[in-house]
Amino acid sequence: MVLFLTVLMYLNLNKTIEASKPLLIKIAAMVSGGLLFLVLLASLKSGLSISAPVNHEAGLIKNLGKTLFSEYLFPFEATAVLFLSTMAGAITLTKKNS
Amino acid sequence: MNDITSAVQVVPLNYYIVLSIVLFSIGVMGMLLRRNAIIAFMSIELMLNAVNLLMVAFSSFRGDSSGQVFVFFIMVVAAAEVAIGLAILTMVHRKSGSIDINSLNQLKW
Repeated sequence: MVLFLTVLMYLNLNKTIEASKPLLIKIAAMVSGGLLFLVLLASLKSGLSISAPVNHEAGLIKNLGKTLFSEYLFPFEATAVLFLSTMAGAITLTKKNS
Repeated sequence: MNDITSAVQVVPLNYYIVLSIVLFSIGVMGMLLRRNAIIAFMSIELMLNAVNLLMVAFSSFRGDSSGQVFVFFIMVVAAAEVAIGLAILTMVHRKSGSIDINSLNQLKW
């Protein structure tokens, strides 16, 4: 999320040098995006109901931690490895020696 | 504070779904309309966050905390993707001098 905001901060600096797509492609993109929106909205019309026994403490940080560290322990460790390799990869890619 | 689930359920479920549909569609349109690669990344992020919102809403309405744990994983994977993507973008900018998506068509040959 911080990355998102940083990117937002950078974007206003070079607004004038941005090329845009041709008009036909723009219209086609608007139409297809609107159609996707309508289709997704129309799928709501059939109605959906969630009737489950509500556990009123599901969102508490205590239960989240319990679920994260018991049921999803292996994915948690796997994402740690993924993140470490991502850091290494990003630094390797942007290094300026070659 | 002790009853987050009922606090989330003050707003009906359909409103959450409509909001995340709107966010997802904005993401898709931004992906299709713009040529700046950073904006493409932001659109991807917007789509992922729409799905995150939907997942938290469903998980609260069902009283099952697995959905909210999955949101953590989605956030981590999105952060990794953006980091690598920005690194690749830096390389492309260094080579071709712009971050226009169309300058990536040299990947074809």
